[in-house]
Formats: sequence, structure tokens, C-alpha cells
Amino acid sequence: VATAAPVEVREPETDTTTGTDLPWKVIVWNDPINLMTYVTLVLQQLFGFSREKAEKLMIDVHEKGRAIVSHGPREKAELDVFRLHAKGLWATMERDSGSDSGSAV
Amino acid sequence: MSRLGRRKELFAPRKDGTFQINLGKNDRSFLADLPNQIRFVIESGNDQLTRRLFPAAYHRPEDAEHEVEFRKYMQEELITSKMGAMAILAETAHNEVLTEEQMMAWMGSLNDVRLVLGTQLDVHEGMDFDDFDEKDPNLPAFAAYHWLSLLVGAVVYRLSGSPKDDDMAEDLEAEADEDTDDAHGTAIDDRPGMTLDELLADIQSDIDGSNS
Repeated sequence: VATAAPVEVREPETDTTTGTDLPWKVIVWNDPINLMTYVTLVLQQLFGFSREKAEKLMIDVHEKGRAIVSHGPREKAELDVFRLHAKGLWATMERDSGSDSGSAV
Repeated sequence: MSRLGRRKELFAPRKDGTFQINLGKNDRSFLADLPNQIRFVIESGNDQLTRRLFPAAYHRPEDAEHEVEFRKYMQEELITSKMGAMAILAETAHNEVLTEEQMMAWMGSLNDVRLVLGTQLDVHEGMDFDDFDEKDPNLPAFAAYHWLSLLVGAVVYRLSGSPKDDDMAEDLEAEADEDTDDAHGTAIDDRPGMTLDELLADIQSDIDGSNS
């Protein structure tokens, strides 16, 4: 992925249908072990992201150290974290303060 | 290096959607034994070694109680999920052909092995074979780690199929054609299709070369 430059694009919030009721966010963190292509494929498979979107998130993880991959109620966030851990990605969750600039979702 | 001439794609796609596995008997036996080793590590309760398999879900101090609950209810399920994929790896390690679903299990379980081995070796970004000398007791483990990286990369490549990938494959093949004895770089991508033994020998010859 040496050719992929980090791109700062905030997507319009049209896909957040319940924008006011999304108290938790799921974060994937950079780690030195998981392959970039592996992270991209896992994000595509778990969240149904396009390759472009998954690659952009992966680059954010790699370049910025983290990326937010999903939002939702606590139970959904827990399930997403579980599925990411099952695939070996380093994921955590925290309350969404709404002030994070690292979000790409 | 004549071995470059008989390179085969490790996971070659077939017309029926399955994959031909081009691995030797020794390498397959090595893979078949990995699940036992991982089970042993998990059962040993060595939290340091398994911290990348089971990271905290709630990383903020104020959520510590949630984390305790999460562990309590999810840990067993997470182990079951991982050992399920490991079991498929063990059962199919000697198969000539894998289904896509079995490839998925290989990908996940081999990556979990990398997470444990990489943690043990304290792998960090930019790490190179130059970080080792030929007497380093970690060298075989590091070679195994990189060989597993090759395998995971090859599976991911085949499961991610897209026109873009095919372009990349052509580029890689073109680069491989230019590969000669003078190409002394230690980039792991220069070594597709090698057996684990060949990889280790190749790394050692690189080290010998750079030390002399």
C-alpha cells in the first residue's frame, strides 16, 4: 500500500440514520503484526464496506494510529468488538463524545 | 537462485471456486501442529503471550466494570471461535484442495498464530532480518513468523480477488522475473512460494552475506 496516500475526507452523515442515538464508538488501533491487506479484508467482510472504504480506514489506522469503524448502542458495539477480536484485530470501544476527529465512518 | 524458477502460487484458484494448495509435506505438518501449540499457550494462562488474542474491549478506566462483564461473558466464546478455526486448519492441513470457507479458517487461525508469535518476538514496525545475527536463538521463530506472514498474505490475496489485485499480481511477477542473486534485499515479498526451510536458509545466507 505504498501508493495509497492518507486522504482526509469526512463523509456526509447521510448513512447515520439514527444520528442522535449512537452513544458508543468502536475503534481499531494500529499494531505491528496484522498485515494491511488482512485488515482491509476483515473490515470488508465484517462490516460490508466497499474495498475503497475499508482501505481508507486501514490507512487511517496505519497512518493516524486508529480509526473509528462503527457507532451504535453499547450491545452493538460490544458485538462489533467481539467480531473484530475474533479476527485478531486490536479493537476497543468507548463512549462517543462527538468530538473525535479521527472518524472516517 | 534456482529455487525461484519453480515457484508456484501457494493457493492457486481453481475453476470450481476452490483452491489448490501448493505446500510440501513438512510445511503441512508444521501447520497441522500449530493448533495444539496455540491451545497450550491459551490454556497456560500466559496473559502476556495472549494479550493480542484477547485485548480489552473497554480501554477507558471509567469502563472497567463493563470490561469485567465483557470478559466474563465473551472470553469463552472468543476462545471457542478461535479454536474452531484452528481445528479446521489442523483437519485440512494435508488437503490438496481447500474451499473458500476453509481458506477463511486458515487465514484467521494462521493470523492468530502470528499474533502470539509476534508478541513473543516483540515484533515492531520496520523490523528486519538485519536485527538478527545467525546465532540469535529467535531466528528460527522469526523465520516462521515471516513464513506465516507470507501464507496469510497469499490467502488474503486470493480471498480479496479484484481487477486491482490482478494488476498487482502482474507487477509482482514482473518484479520476481527481475529477481537475481544481486537482489539482496530482505523484503519478505521477494520470497513467495518458498518452504519454511528454504526461507530460513535464505535468511541465513543473507545474514552470512551481510556479515562477511
